[in-house]
Amino acid sequence: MTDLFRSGLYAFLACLGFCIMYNIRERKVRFAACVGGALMWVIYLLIEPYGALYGVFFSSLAVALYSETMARVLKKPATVFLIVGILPLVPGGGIYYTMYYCIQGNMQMFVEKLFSTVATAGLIAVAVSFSTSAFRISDKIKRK
Amino acid sequence: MNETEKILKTASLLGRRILESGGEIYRVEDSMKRFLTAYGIEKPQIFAIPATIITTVCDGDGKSYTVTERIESVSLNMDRLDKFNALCRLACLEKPDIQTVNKEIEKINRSELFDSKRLILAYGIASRFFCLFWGGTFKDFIPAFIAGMLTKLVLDFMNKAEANLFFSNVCGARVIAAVAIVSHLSGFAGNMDMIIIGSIMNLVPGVAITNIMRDIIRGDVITGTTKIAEVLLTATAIAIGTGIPIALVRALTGGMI
Repeated sequence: MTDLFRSGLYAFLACLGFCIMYNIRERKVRFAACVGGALMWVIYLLIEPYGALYGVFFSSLAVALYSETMARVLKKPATVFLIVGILPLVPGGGIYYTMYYCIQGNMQMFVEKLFSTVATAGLIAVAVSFSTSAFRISDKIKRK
Repeated sequence: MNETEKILKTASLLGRRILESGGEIYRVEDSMKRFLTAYGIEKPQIFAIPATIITTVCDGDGKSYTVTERIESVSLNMDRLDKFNALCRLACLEKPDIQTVNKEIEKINRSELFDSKRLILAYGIASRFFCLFWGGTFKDFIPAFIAGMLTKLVLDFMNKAEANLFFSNVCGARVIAAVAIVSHLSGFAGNMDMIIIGSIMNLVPGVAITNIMRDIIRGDVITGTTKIAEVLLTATAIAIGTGIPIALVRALTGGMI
């Protein structure tokens, strides 16, 4: 439980750095974006025991839904929350370990890491597009 | 310049600014279409990809006008993106005259940025907390902080020297690996990998990854494939950049890392 809380906090603080890089100026928006990042990581950790890729998919889905909701609440483009919220899942570690095993000559681990890196990136993309499409369709229906 | 041309010019400029501040392609096309329609231009033809926006409109006499905007570089700026978006919405509702819209665009384009000291600090903060986040200890915290700040300095320098995306990422990653290796070999920090992973998060193309599928599923396959290429290129650059120093030191020290 404390682990969960601690890594959520780290995710929050790391996202804060990115908020400044992306020039998000309003405090409220910055806070909401970082909460998204922390939230998504906690969800990921909760689902991960059932399979890491399930975790990636459902937590991306959750953060995408959160972003769309926040976009409507705070009247900002959804991208603002999405690009910050998705950060903890972006496979930076995957890229590193793929390279590392390649240098070591450990082909089995290299292929495994390569696959999981590509799969993670792909799943994030698919999950985000699911929720975006759903929200766009529901918006269109509401307008009519 | 007649009225149609003026409207077209302003719409193109608005589209350009949205794309440059990191807006998605559909947002660019959508905003421009709504803007042009609001100002009474029927069926504007807009084609946008990450590098170009081409817009053609017809005026009442059947004469057509085209404006092409070539976009050289994109720098993510959510504050401006939001303001341009809001401006476009406002313009569609209230239809102020074109001169006012132009002035407003200029004003937003000059809106303040965080100063470079704070940006460098932000890179450091992001990389050190990602280092802890991925399982680094408090000892790894300081090298990651330094590596993050150095990354920003390197990227800024590369930007000034007009180096391409690939090479600046290679150099950024190389500096990160160098800091991590030095702190590892000097016995200062225990987890070389955590320092590197935490710091390369600054370079990893997270934004492109999030947007790929959205573009492809929307039917914008050209943009999607361009972004896939960009992601692969950046990931390879990071791998090469961190890989070279590590392989070198491995060879020199006989596999110590």
